[in-house]
Amino acid sequence: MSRVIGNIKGSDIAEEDDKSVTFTAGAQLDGDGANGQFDEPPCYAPASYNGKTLDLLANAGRPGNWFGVVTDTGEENGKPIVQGPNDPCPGAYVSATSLHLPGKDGKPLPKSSPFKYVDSATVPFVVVPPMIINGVAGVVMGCRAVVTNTKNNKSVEAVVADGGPSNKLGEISLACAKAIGVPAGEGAKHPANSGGIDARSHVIHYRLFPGVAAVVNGVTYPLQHS
Amino acid sequence: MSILSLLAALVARPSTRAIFCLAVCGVASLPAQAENEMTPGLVGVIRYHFRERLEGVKPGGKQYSAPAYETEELPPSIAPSNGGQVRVIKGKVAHLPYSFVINLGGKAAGTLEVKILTAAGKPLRGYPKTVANAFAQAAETTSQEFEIPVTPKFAAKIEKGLLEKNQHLTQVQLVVQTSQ
Repeated sequence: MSRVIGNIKGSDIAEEDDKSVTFTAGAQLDGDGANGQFDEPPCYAPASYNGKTLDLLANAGRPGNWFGVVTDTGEENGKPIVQGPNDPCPGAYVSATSLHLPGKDGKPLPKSSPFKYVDSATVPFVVVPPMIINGVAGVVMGCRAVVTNTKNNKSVEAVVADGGPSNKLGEISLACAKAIGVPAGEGAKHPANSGGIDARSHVIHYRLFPGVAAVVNGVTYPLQHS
Repeated sequence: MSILSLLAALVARPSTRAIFCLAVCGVASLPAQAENEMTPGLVGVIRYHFRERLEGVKPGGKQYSAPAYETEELPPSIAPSNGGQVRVIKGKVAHLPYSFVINLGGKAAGTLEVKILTAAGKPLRGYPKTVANAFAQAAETTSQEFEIPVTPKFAAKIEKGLLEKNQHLTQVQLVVQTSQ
């Protein structure tokens, strides 16, 4: 017998007998974590930046209220950290995911490192609300996920890499959207600020495996306690 | 026997004349029918983008959620009589004090015009806006987005009336899509 963990705007979140977590929802887009790690555009940059960005800067906030970029103090009233000359996108801001990646030596990277975060542009990942993170015994952040578009039966292996608002269900990275045929803002100036599938459409099926580290494109992701 | 004389012979017989007329009428009606089938409707949606301050995050953790949005839909588009491929959306949404007039094909085929009027009936700053070939297939463009400026005072009102605790409005956007 599956157990209903909760319901967000008409979508039941169920814990199945095998401890996987399932729900069906739409798919909003999350460009966070994209810092040009794999030669794709960064998520955010100041107006002076000469290049494409995945999202409109307003979605990261504004001076005094930086909600979506890493700041020097770690608080929203700090100064955004700008990528340096040896970083992937010099001049762009550093955008974060909830899931933090270690360096090649296995040690934690500084918060200013663009490589500390999961790249929305190239890594299929899922965003989940606190209800799921706090509602199951297994570790959710970094766990395996399988995302399926029931309209075309396209499916992709993904990682849970970001935390979403408490009242929203169904959000994915740009790479995840592309992999399953969800409009990923093709042709738009800021792809992450466009595209997606309406939250009420209930055509995207999500299956998460708390406690099971995700392996995506040969990379094993760390399980991260909240 | 030439094609013309064959046609004349066919039309001369009452039974084939009727079939011929039906066929000609059918062919003649095809372009109009195809035009209707090919012309999609328009959908206008207001997206209220926000981020939520997450509770119980460990020091060094990401303090705010991924971006998300709430939506409000404008009324369905209408096709004005004898307007050909013109599609028009007119209306308001609950949480903005503006009137929207969105017109596809009125100025020129494929041209999208967006007018936003304040409560006083004046154009909102930066509007009207016009986009030629708004949904050109070659460019894979499926939607057009327009930023809607809101004052801090109005943003606070939207946060109070539409968003939940700890959620902060980051921008308001009009998204226009074809319904096919």
